[in-house]
Amino acid sequence: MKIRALIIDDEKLARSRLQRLLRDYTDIEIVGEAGNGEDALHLIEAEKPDVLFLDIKMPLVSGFELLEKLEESPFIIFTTAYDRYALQAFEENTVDYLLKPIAKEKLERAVSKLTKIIRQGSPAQIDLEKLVRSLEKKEKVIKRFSVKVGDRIHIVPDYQITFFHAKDKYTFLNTEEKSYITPFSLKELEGRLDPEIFQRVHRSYIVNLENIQSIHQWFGGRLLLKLKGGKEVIASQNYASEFKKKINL
Amino acid sequence: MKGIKCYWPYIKRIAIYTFFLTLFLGTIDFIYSGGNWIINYGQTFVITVSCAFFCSLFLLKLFSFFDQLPRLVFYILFSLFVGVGIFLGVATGMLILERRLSLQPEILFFSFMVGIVFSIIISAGFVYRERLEAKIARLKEIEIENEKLRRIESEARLNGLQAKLNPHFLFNILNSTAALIYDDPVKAEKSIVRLSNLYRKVLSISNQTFIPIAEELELIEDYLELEKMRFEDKLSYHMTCSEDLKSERIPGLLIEPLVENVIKHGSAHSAAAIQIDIHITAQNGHIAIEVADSGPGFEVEKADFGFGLFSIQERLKLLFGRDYSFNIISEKDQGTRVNILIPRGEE
Repeated sequence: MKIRALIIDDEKLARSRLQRLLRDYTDIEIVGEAGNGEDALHLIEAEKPDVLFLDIKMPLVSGFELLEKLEESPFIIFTTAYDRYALQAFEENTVDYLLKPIAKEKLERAVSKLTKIIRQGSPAQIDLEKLVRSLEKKEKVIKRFSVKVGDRIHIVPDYQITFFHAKDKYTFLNTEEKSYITPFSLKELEGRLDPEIFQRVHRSYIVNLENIQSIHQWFGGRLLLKLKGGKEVIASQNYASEFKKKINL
Repeated sequence: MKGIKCYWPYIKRIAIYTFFLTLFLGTIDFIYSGGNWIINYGQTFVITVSCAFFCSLFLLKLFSFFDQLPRLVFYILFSLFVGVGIFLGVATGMLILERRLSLQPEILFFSFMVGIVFSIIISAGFVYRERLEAKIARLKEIEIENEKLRRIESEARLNGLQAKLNPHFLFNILNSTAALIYDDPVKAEKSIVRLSNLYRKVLSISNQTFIPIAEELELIEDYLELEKMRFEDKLSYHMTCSEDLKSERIPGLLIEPLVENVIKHGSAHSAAAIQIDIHITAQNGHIAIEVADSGPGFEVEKADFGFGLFSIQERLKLLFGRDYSFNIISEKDQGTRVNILIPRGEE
């Protein structure tokens, strides 16, 4: 029985190169190739391949989104040009990964690893969910916000932000000098800000921990936070304990 | 930190006020009415302590609503309340001490004055503390300002390097070229020459260098031709620049990151063909640069911008002060337009 493989990559040249390289392996039969996620989905359903050679960055549906949509995932060998964050996740969660330009020896290693696993009859699944989650998280965090100044756009990196506050249905993004309106709600922001440096401290405040200048005791178990740029924010009792934990107070 | 511990600074303050108030009133009582000083001080102490605690508990409740007030208003109110508290305390105290049951104007006046004096002392204390803190903060600020400058500088340098040596682009191109070696050797050769040209040019440009517009456009052409090799008919572009502007100098690698962005985001979110239009025109003493694309577009205010665009903004700010403009207009499914306006005749 040959191993049935599907090549998924949005670049035609990249597909043809992998085709050529795989020609040397009589064990592997290429049952098709797809240039985007949608085509790939159809092909996977129709052909039920044993293994996918999958490029991560593809139009419409990325490699990861594709994986999420599969009910039963085949073995996967990722192909990628360069993804700093992804490499470690691959190491732990897939058969193998191949860096472009693909080297013959590396392909050899991946194929023999794959053959061994398939011949042993192990089930295909690796912890894809974990893989997808670990990579998604990094993408969701906003590092640079855009704010409107008149009819113009200004980009503010997150380290320049001192705090966010909500007032009368609006959310304000504050830097040391200025205050801008942002379309995000505080709740949305909690999920999209870098949790390492941002912390909710009040029903209507999220602060940048790195821009706190000093912390003072305040009435009723609350804390007064003096921020860079001279503004002050109250950490309410409900949020104070979590805040203290975060800054090791 | 629950319970009494977090009120400690507050209680300490009350204790100090009480102590001085007792000393003050007790002494007055002793001088005026004589008698046993222990009883005098004792009586006054009990009265003022209960008064101070009554006032402070009242304040504590009240001020939990005042968190959001501006600092100055808070101080004034705080001092005022303490003043009123002391006024009431002293008035009651004197009434009992003098064993008189009717309020006499002198007693009222005296208590009122004591209240005011304490208010002023407390306010002065606040103001002094605030000043001292402001002074320290200012010193710190200068230090931070310097730090910020250093950070922007090193970040710009790092970003420059990253953009120039964009590994994702480089490895993808090399991979495509490897495929071409068999399929189309002539094209493969061209691709290698283009790639070498591009990197040579890019490496010679640092953050401060200005290069002729023509050179920047050549560089962009090299870049786009290489990307076309990967994306084929999914990518097309058009560049125009008025003749007299071609030798005009602009910051190097100002436009290229914009084009790179279009490809990066356009190809990630759309399988449709992308058209890029770059127009450079003269506009009363300024150079107007527009990079428009037919890509998927995005909601500008909710977008997370890459370092590329941010560093363009920062570079423009550093190089031209206020004499520049930089704007991004985009809407979902409507494409994106980036406009830059910089002064002419810069070197």
